[in-house]
Amino acid sequence: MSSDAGPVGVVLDKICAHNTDVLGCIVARDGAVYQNLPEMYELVDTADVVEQAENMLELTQGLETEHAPFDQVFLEYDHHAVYARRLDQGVLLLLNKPMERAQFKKMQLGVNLFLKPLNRALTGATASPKVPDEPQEGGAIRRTTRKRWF
Amino acid sequence: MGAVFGLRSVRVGKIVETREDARQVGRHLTSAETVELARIQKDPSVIGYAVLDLDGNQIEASGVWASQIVPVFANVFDLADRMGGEFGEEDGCPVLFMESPDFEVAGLLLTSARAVIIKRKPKRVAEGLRSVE
Repeated sequence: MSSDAGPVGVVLDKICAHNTDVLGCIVARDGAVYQNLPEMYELVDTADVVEQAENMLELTQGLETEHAPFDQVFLEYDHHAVYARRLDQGVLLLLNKPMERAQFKKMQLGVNLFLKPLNRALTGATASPKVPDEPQEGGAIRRTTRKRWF
Repeated sequence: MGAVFGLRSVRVGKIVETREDARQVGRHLTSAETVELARIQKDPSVIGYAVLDLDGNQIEASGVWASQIVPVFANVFDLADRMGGEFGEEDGCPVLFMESPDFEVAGLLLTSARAVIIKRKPKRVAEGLRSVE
């Protein structure tokens, strides 16, 4: 598995390394598609997949008028699971091994850890973002400090 | 189907079902699915739902966004099936979830229909409760 070079590719590698059920990632912004998929998926039309994910999120924007729009989709298939997440600019797609809702929640937490670096990499695209090897501030579960949950 | 959402919150929408709705649903759902759907409707955390046939036509819709759920999710299901095809999935997408900061939606493939269930997140309910003076 190898990803495109550059800061975005670095973050995608980190996401895959941190989440064991993730088979590969795709990130798209303004028509540019970065991917980190195994060779067996080389025939996948990633631009088409991204467009479908964006359309799904776009369609549900019509439902909400006063609240924040839907920004995450999780699709369960027989042999895969796909997680799509809207970014500050663009969309992230993760291709996963089949998983159920509970595993998805765990993976969702694992992805959250890398959202900031990924957004920085996509928006900046010049300076190399600081990507944590391990979960760091903001995303880590704090076991010693109780926080209000709303 | 009942295990789709494991959280509980406060009912904020009223779900109304007429006899004609029930007949329509009964034509497309098995008796077990009908019973489960009725049970879900009584769940206070569910604020809306819809049942679609496999062609995306509305069988029943009620609660929040009742007029919008079916056309929106008929297309979402189509897109999900198409995306699965890209990854070699032949049988479409049996289950999908969507999340916003305030809501969760589950879309399920049943025997000969699709169901969409909408739920308000407990965090949002709690914020509403806090703002009550």
